[in-house]
Amino acid sequence: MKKKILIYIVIFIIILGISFLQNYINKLFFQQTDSVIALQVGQGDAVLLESDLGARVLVDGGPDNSVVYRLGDYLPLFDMSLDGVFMTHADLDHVLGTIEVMRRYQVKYLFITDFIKDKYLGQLALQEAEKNNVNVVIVNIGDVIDLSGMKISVLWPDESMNYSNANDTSIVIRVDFQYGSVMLTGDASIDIEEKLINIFSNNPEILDVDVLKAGHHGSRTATGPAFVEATSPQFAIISAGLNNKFGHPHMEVIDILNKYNVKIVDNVYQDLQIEFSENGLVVY
Amino acid sequence: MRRALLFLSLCIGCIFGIGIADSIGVVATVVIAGFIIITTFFLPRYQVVVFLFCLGLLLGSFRFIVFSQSDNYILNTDEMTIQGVISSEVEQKINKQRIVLAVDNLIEDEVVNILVTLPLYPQYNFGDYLSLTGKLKLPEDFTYTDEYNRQVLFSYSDYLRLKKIDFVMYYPRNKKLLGTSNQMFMRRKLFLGKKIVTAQLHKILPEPHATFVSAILWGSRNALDPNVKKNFQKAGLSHIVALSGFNISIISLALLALMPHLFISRKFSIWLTVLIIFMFVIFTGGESSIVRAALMGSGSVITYQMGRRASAFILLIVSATLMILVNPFILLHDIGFQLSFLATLGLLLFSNNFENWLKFLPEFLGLRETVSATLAATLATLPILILYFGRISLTSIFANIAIVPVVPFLMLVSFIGLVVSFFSSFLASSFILFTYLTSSYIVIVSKFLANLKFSEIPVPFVPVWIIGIIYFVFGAIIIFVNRKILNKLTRYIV
Repeated sequence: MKKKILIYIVIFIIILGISFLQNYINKLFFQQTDSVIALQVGQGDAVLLESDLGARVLVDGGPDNSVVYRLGDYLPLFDMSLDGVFMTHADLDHVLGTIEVMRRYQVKYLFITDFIKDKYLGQLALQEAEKNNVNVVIVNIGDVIDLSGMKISVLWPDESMNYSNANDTSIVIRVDFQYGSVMLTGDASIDIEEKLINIFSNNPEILDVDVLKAGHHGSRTATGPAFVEATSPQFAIISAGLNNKFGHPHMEVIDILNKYNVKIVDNVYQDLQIEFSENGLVVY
Repeated sequence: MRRALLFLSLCIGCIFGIGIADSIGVVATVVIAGFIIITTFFLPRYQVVVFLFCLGLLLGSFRFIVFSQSDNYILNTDEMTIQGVISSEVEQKINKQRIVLAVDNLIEDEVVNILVTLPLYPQYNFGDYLSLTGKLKLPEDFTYTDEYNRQVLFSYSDYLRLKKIDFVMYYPRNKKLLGTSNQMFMRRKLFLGKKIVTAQLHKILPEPHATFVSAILWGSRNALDPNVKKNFQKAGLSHIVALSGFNISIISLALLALMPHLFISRKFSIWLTVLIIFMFVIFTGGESSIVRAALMGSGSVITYQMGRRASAFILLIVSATLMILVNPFILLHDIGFQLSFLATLGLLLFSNNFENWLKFLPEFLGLRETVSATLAATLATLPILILYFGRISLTSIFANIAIVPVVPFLMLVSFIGLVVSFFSSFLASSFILFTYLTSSYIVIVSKFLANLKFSEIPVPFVPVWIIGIIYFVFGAIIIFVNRKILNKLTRYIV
């Protein structure tokens, strides 16, 4: 009898002990570094941004729910949360997965634009955000989001303008880590890239980054030579599916990137992680 | 003459009758039955048994005729608007959802089941009444190329006929939710409950573990991570994500142990247990393996109440006969039914022998039992695994030894963790941690074994009739070598 009680007490202590050591266990299993991870989600975009101080932001969610299978590898067990989720524009290949992400992970903020709200997928996302107590923030050019170890500057879109094409309403962000920076442009076209160059002609260093995600999955409609020159990245990420029907990435884009000596990396077969550290960039 | 033997011969006759009617033709069963009856004139001792067997043959083929008399629907390939209620659990895949719509506006007084593929959103629920516009198609059989560059035929029409689905429709337009059916109350509530517990599991566990755990606990119909699934297949572990007798026996044992403390009478608690088992079957979606287990489980509970213990062999045959009589098509076309039936049969027939031969293995952690069970089930299912998949898993035994013993632990901790997490995620964390570690262990070991160079070897696809002969010879050898086995298996008390 005494022995039985002792066993129960030991089990109880283990249960409580693990509960109190949650944070320690998280750190034991999951080490976060300053990095950008282009998740392998097929023909679409889903980019996870992590800082070593613990901030996590997902930019787009890919064309289906495979993003939740990919996220499992990077998020700690006892902290299944994201500080923010961006929906760059309301195209299926960027938005669909974010809905399931909001169901499964505690998302603090959902960043969208005015242009998404009326679209069907945008409505769906807003409903889901409300159900799961996610704060919805509408971002506009000039906004800055400061997270621990990560600063996100919104460079586009401009609410006051009219657009004929949903791709051109894409949120364009620049992310600054302690030792590096990334530019994510969604599906914005060369037209928008040129507008950005004009807008920031006074302080062009805003566009200058270490890593550029080639716009629109490497389509010839984005990543013009002027923009590559302005951003002067070391690496260009192409997020596209294997044998996709659009033929992304297009040869023209690859030629331009080669011309400017930009190393091209992709996430066709597995997640692509680029880590920023004092010693430079490391690609996994 | 044992009464059990007489009853069994009738059941087995039914099974054979349906099998022959489905594969060769109804005429063949009649001819065979006649032929066998004539031979009995020379074997007077077994006349009654043989007579009952032949009666079973004829009954089975009669049932098959009735069942397969389907109306020839006229297929209209124009676009049309269909209306109906979602009549089975909605399947959420990674990039689409699949529903079975019981359509009532095509043919008067008749329901046509149509499998509809839809985009992920908007999401529908069981019991929703929908109106859709699209083109009806007959399911088309297709061939695909497997990893060993062989052309494999997949009979999609046979697969769908199992579920009584006649047509398919892909991505219809004009989706309108007209309302929710107020029938099927219990199933609607059960599936709603399933949705809630699944959502909670998704919140406390990352993928691929969440889907894996829900698969072993209650048979998720959602997509298991494709990589994990492939590794399980290669390592011969697919059966752990198929619900089976294990879930049923846990439920019934737990209930029977609990109920006396709740001042429920013995008789009532038996029937309550049976009821809950069948609610669980509905909850899981009712795949063949779980239906078989539920029938056997409730059979043994009920016979126990009657003060007897039925032999597992009798329960297996009776359950199989019932299932086949309800849907004769499963006998030859439902691989889940075949594997479940044969694996159980293998366990009953051989596992004792293997345990005797493997005396040199230690009993530590149930090692000897696991090895014997794996060998017995593998031996019995190997021919049809070759028939369907054309490959033999060489790592299956090691994978099963390494993984099967931890599955009960995983089920226990994940179940407790899930229940506790509804109240306090803080207290649930230790259970979640153990769930995570165990599940990771399974995923990693299966990945390692599946990716070994010789984890499986391809073997040529063998025609069905050869497989039939193999099983026939198998059975004959067993009865010849061990004449007492029939006596042993048909005994009431075991």
